[in-house]
Amino acid sequence: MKGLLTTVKHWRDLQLIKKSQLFDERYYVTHYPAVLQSGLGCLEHYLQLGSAAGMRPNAFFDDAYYREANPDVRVSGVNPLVHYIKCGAREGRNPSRSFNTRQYLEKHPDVAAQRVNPLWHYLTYGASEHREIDNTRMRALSADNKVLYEQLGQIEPLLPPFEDLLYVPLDCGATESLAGRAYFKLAESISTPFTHLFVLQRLIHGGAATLSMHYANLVKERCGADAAVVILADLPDRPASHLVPEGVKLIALDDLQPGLSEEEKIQLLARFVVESKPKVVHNLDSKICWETFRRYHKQFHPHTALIASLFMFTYNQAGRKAGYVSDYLNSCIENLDLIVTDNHTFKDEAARFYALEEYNLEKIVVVYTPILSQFHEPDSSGAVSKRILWSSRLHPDKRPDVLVKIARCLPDFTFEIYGDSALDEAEMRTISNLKNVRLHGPYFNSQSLPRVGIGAYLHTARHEGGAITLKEAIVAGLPVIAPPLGIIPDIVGPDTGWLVASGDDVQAYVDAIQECVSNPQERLRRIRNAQELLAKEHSWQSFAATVASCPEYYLPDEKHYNN
Amino acid sequence: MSPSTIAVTVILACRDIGRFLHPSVRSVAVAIETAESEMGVAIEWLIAADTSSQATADYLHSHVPARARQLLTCNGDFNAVKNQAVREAEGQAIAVVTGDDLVASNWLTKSLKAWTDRTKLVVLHPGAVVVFGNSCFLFSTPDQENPDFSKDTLFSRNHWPGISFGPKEIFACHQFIQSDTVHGFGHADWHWACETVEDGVCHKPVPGTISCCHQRGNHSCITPSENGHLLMPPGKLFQLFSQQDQA
Repeated sequence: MKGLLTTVKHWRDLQLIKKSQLFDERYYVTHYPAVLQSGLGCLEHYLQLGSAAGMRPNAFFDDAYYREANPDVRVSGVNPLVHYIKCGAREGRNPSRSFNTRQYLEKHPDVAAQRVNPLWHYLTYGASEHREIDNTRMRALSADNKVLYEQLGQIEPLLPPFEDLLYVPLDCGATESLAGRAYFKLAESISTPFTHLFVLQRLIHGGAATLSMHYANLVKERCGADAAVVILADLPDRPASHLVPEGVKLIALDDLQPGLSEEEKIQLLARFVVESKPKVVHNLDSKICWETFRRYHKQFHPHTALIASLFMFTYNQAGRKAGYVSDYLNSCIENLDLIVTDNHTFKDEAARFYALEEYNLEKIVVVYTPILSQFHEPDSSGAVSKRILWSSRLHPDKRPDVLVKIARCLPDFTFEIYGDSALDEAEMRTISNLKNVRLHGPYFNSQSLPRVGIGAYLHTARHEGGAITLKEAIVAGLPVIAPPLGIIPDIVGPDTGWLVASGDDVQAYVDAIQECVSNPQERLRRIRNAQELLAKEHSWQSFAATVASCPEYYLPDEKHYNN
Repeated sequence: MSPSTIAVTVILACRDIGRFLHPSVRSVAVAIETAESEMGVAIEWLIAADTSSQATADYLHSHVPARARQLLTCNGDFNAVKNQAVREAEGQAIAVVTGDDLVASNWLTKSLKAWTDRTKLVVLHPGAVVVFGNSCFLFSTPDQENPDFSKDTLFSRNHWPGISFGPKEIFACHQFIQSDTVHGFGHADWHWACETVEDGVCHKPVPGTISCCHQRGNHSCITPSENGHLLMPPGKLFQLFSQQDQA
């Protein structure tokens, strides 16, 4: 029976607080992020555990203060917020040191006339209307101070009239700094010195994550796991966190402190770099980091080398250049120490497009993404197969329109399409309606793609960087047919595959596919040559040697740490 | 005045603003006279100026009260001369006022009265601050002893104006950092506040006093965003990471 009564009371309290709108869920989560792991709803948590632990339901309600200031509440065991809603506000009790209930009603008779809870009014309307919540303004604007101010006005006529001064409650105890709190948490989570800071937007499956972790692995290999720290600055998503080398610290700013604004993250990252002075900050793909570089490069030098990865120009729907390269390369290159890319095409295009000076151009270094997968012998059954493999994200950038046209031109071929879709329904219907196209959906990694009984790997795209999927296809023992974008011309040529003249040239693709599957000897020769090229120039050793040859990367030639 | 009889040294630290210093000088003169007459104490007045222009030199030469001792340098750094003034100060306490700011007539008197427990490491600030110039508003300076105060907030802004009063040893132990705008570092007052807080100094307001902080151009006494792309330099409060030696 007692249990039932407790349950009913708890339910009533919960409903009362909900109805009062005095529980600020966002405030609660941002201040007490561990609540999200408790398995309880925020309000449930507050009622069951939080209040007793001194956790606040909003910025202006202090449970500990309320109990301390009201012994009757403390003795009764009633939840302070419930008490304040039921009778505390009416009795003129204060929810915290920062908010004076009586004074709020006295100062704002319109609120008193509405007979609403004064704290609710302040949180809902009063704060944005800059209404005063206690007598600090009165103290600041006291009659004595006014006399003093008028005396100063005699000396400095530019002082505005006393009555016109807007009061800003900078001293209010409830004001806070989420970035400050996040900074101290960051300091707690990084207890050992490190030299290389990798900043990513987020950590999702894809080329950026794979490449990022190659760099992290290299630092780990040469300097030890403690030397590398990975920060997810823009978003907390990390489905590819298993790629992070063991022992390397991974921190998402949003997990550290939910609710951080972009500006707060920039301030946080800037302070972190200035105080920790890593040898290298390598921005893999983070907008927050680009903004931080743009603003604070002066403060980071000379202790820290600023390095960024850029792979290709991207374009918006209007066909104009857009993205990180357009937004930051030209404005930041002067202050960067090194830009690593994975293809010469990008370097050449950037040099032409921005008329880069020689000294700036020298900062762009091409580092081929290493291929770590096991090389496979070409499958002989594929030599005469009319199954064509295509794997990537179905996105307009990957030219599904060209893929469709090729499939239409080759009705006796089957196109095996792997990858998730970012296309709309109509576009997907166009593809799925083709009888010789088989859609397989997302794939986990390149090893999960078919390699037996496949005639060729087809690559279509609008723009390209390191073309990791294409390289993986070569490793899998497939011949590749691709346009001259990004790294592709470095790999694919008349001896190593079929390079079509243009990504728009459907007939060139069709001719290449037919030539490839009609000449097994030539197909085999080109696969072997392509594999030999990758083994030589795209190995881990060549990657490591190229990175280590950049003094800006501060890598010792060999392993240089004690386990 | 012998050093032992001087209760306070007022340091008026001047930026290079020529005759626009005058309101500041006049307000400090009034505050000193008021404190001397009401408290019966001896007060030393130092004007510390890094004069990079003839206009400031001319103003100081012609218009500053004779009792104010002038400390003039040409280092191009406003905070360096402030530090030098601290070293030369003979008072038991130091009151710093930034040239261009105004202090109420009772500022020194009330600060002296509030500085009762002289064993405690306390820095006092005017209870209310009016910011005028580029923007106009009023705020109350927070009390570090308020249970709601969190030093986390010092990450985002400086709570206290440069106008401060405290025992000489605090100023002697905590120098103001020199400006290094070449490397993007500034916010000397904010940095000073962080350093002192980390070392256990308590910043408190003096109720019933007021000061006026003139905001010109990109100079700000409150927030970082108003000061371009300057950062506060590394300091004790936030220096929580050890650096690894790199071969």
